[in-house]
Amino acid sequence: MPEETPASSHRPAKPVEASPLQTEHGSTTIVDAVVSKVAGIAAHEVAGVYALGGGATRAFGAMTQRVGIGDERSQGVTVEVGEREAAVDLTVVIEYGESIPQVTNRIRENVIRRIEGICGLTVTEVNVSVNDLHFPGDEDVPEPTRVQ
Amino acid sequence: MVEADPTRTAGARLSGRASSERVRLSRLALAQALAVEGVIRADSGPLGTQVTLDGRERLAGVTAAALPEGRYGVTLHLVAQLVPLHELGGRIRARIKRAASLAGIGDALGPVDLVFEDIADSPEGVV
Repeated sequence: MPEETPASSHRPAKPVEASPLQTEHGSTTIVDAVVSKVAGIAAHEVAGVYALGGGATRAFGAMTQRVGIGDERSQGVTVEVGEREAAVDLTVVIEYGESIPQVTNRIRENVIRRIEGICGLTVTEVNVSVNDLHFPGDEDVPEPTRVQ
Repeated sequence: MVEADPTRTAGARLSGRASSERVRLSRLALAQALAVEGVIRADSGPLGTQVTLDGRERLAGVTAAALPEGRYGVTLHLVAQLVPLHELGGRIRARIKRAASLAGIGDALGPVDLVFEDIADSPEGVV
């Protein structure tokens, strides 16, 4: 069963305070796909993270990437984006032997740092679901071809 | 030979009509945004509707609409590099405002709304 880190019900709310994205000279809107990508890249940057997404998501992602319509960076990432806040849900596969609480804490810190730095959004929560462990040798080794 | 008329844009010269202030602002905003480091390209959206027509020319990724007070609100749809987007937005707005003032259409420029549609590594590849 995947480990789910503590989640609260605090989701992006209506703006109350000034946001760097809402100025008197105009507003800045960052679409969900951008925030997803930033979160995915941030999670990948953390040592101990093998992949993002569940098995089915990764298999489907590999297929869509092969035909050029998929994006590995935002696979396994779900975001809710408000005018000044964002909430992120991540599904990750962690390397066997790593401390899951430490890795998930580092993921959370890095995702918050990246989203707040790049997007200017306040991150209200980062929920990390550890879907699987990766063991050395689990990689898909291509079968040797029978012909040269 | 026809002299270049600064009040006319390339699209307007093709169509033989002077561009409206709205179209001139759109063209200026788009050109200035694309000149800012960190902006990769403009994006006309999945349906190709985020465009301004200048005669026969399509200015992809920019729209402008008249506001009640007589100015025009400009909206730009952009793909940017992986940089702080709110700071990038500030640089884009400042550049557009400065260029509009120099072009003599600063009074017509209203708020500049920015929509970051995607992020990318380079003009060729999306992250």
